[in-house]
Amino acid sequence: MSHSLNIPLIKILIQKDWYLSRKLLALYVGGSIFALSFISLGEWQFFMGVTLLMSMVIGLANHLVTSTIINERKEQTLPFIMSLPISPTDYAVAKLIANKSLFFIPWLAILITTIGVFTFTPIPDGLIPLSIIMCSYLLLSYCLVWAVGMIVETEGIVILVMVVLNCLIGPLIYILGSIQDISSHFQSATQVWNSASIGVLLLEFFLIIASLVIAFYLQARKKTFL
Amino acid sequence: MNSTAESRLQELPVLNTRLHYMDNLRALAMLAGVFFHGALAYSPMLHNVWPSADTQQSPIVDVIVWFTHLFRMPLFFIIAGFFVAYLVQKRGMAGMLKNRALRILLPLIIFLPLCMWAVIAPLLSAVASVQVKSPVLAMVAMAMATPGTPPPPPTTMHLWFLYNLVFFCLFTWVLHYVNWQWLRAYFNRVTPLTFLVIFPLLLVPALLSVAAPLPAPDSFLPQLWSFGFFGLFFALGYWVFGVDNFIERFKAYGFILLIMSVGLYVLFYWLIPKHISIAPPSLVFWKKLIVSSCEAYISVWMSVVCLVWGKIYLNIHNRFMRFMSDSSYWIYIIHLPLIFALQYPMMDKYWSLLAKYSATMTVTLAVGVLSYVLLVRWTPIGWMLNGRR
Repeated sequence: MSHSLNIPLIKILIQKDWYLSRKLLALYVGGSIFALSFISLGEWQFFMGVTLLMSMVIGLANHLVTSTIINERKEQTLPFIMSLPISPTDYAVAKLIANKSLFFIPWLAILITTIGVFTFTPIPDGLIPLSIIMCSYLLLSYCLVWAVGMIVETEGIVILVMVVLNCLIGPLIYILGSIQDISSHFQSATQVWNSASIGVLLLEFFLIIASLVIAFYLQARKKTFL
Repeated sequence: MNSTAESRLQELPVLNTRLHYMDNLRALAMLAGVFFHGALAYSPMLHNVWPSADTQQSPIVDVIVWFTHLFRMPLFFIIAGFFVAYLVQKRGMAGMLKNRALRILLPLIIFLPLCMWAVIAPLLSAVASVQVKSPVLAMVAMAMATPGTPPPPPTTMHLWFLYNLVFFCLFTWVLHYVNWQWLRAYFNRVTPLTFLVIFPLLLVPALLSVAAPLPAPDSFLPQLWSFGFFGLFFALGYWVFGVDNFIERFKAYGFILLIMSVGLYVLFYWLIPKHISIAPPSLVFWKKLIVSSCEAYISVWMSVVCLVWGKIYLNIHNRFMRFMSDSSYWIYIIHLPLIFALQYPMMDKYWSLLAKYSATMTVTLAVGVLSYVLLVRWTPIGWMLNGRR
């Protein structure tokens, strides 16, 4: 399969996704700043702010996949894209870069802010590994939803995967809390990275890479868009 | 896209002439901050919380500095909002964000760590060398002598205004997708008198949630009250840009607003605590409501007075004013470490308050101006802060 990528068109497709998602991004950036400003108000406001912040990340992830992949098929944008001189691989590359950059930049900003909050406030730094694992889970969820969206392009299945992954947040926190090597350091003044926490994090990153590779491989094997 | 603020701003005639009074007012607001921070060492009210608090104190300092404190930064944020609207009109939303990233975010990233180091180094030196320690220096000395004492959380210090401006610029982008036509139409119909009565009321909830006099929102966590106070002043400035003759409408009210603000300030000063500690004393609700209302009305009314009189008396352009306008940003960035470094050694000297304050201000401004001329004006630092000449 010798195929050279149509770089100029891929760039245009990325710009298109960025342009069409700008309002969405603005909404979630505004919501995230509001959530952050809520965190410092007090104890219950802290939990509300953190929940709101997580909701913003989850909302952005799900909204992006729906608007850039599912709606493209539903609103008949895909037939137009099919008329362009691009292959399914070009399309997959454009979607990968556009979606990942749209999500990854706000996600990274939130991750850095979260670490900053724990480091610079009296909240125990021992919660940092848990926070990083949870943030990575949100990235993993996004990558899985994106991969499923790219492979099946069916709204119902994508929504089902979104729901399942969101439902797993609570059990994940419970499981992490029951792993003694991780939970015993929650109240520590310093962050503790041991084989258990590093192992969970590595597993998450392995799954992220696997989901992207599988989605990309299956997309590249397609001869046509249909 | 016709309903967006950006497109409406683009409908306005492009502003080609430089608004000298806005430049000059901004410079004055910045330089007033230098004088404000220099005076805090002699404030009885802040004696317990200011690192370079001196044994020489005077209530007159408090009376003067807290009055200016109520409208100095609100005025600055009105001007900041005004110029952001101007940038949106001139360069579009993306151009504005790019410009603000270069002029605000980049200086914040570069100078905040440097300023932190420049504040902490003299502080640690003062803990070891100053004999007549301020309560803060004594506390730091005790903390250093007690192993295991957690360090205080870092703050954005006096550069908090840059940090907040970054968020306000982001909010400008976020909110420009909302159709504000109805609100603009309503505000455009509002008479000066209604504005002067209603707008301050919008600020009261934010002020009720913080201590009085209003503190600096210098935490790394964005402060909701700052969005509801300084953010509204920023929004006001943004709106003022698109309104014809907004400042002229208030010409007749200048003097009366000043008199009424001074009257309210007497009440405000009478009610606020005369000594502030790290955990500020709480006021009973009715007192807090009056104090917050006074703060809100004084900040709006005095900002309007400054805008009106600034347009009349500061709409001048000469080399001196342009130099002050250009250099004020740099002087403001470096002034606080300089002030601390100068005031720590003076804490053991038996000079009068006026002598210490004059010496601090003279040396700070001289170093600020000289360093601007030698290191900033014609260098990439100057390009970053004020643009290429």
